Amino acid sequence: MPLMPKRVKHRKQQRGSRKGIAQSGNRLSFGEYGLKSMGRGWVRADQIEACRVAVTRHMKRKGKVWIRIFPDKPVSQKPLETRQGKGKGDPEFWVATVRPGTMLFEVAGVSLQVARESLRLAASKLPVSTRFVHRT
Amino acid sequence: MADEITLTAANRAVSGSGAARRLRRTGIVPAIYTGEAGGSELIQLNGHDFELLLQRHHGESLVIDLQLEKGKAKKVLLKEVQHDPLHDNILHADFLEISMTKKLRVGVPLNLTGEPIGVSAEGGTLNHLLRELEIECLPMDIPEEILVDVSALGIGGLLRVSDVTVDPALEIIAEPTVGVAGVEAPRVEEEPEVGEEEGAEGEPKVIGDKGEGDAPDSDEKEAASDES
Repeated sequence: MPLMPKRVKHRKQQRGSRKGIAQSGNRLSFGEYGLKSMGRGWVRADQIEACRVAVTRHMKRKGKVWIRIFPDKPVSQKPLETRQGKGKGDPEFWVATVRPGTMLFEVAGVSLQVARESLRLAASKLPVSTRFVHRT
Repeated sequence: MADEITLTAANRAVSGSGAARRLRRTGIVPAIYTGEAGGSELIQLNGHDFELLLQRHHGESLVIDLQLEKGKAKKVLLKEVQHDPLHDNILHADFLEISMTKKLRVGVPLNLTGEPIGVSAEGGTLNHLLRELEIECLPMDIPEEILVDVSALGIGGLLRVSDVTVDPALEIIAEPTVGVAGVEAPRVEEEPEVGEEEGAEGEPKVIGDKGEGDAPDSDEKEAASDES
């Protein structure tokens, strides 16, 4: 079951804006280490889940992981070989809008090397460029 | 405070975001100095020197001897440092003149030492819950950091603010019941932990919708009303 909201006000949304840099959710708030987005884009629910699995497996289920983004935006698509018109397509998947500076994941309770490697694995599953950050 | 920190600042003639951006491009950090009486002065710092100063010290609540262009050095508190959220570059600093005889309220970094028994022997996870402790003290007594020993914590153990021992010159302002650090039991993780069974087919519930298939109809109704 992918990440998605339990209840929504409207089934479909417009694309919205991805301008600017992250004004909130841009700091390490919970963990010792984090993965910060340096680019902008939509991160799908299945990509977030793939990252979570990669991080928890590499950390051998030690430590703690925080997912700082949530896919609350539905993206609709028209079926293949359909003529244009006849209204907007059906929601197909859910995405989180990511702007430069957004903290994507946070990790605590593991060594620097383990955190760095696990977040590297997660970063390779994302459509945005990222940077590893840690508390000074 | 262990040693005296000195910093030289120059007066700044320009203000505004564009001018500040141009200054930063030349390696200068725009800053502001507020006197004890309340008046403020625009100043600028050498970015490299200021960055080194911050690297050498733990927290950012530092008492500094700020040498302005005119007059002798003034005792100031580094009230706030703004960082760029993308690259962590220093954007701006805020200095407040202080009296060495008046008590101040500042946030001091709270760091943990030692490995808890619950982590080393029982495989638990250490949760660092409070990273900054608010204290009240005289400027010369502000510590760079407060160290808390957590080596005695077992699984399920919680260390609260009331358990933190500090120098008698410091008065802790934070609530005594607030947790500082705790040790969680090791996770027994089941793989598909995200979400619940509800809406497993992939559609969340629409608020205010009576039936499942009503959502597209309601959209059409809205569109029709717009046209009319």
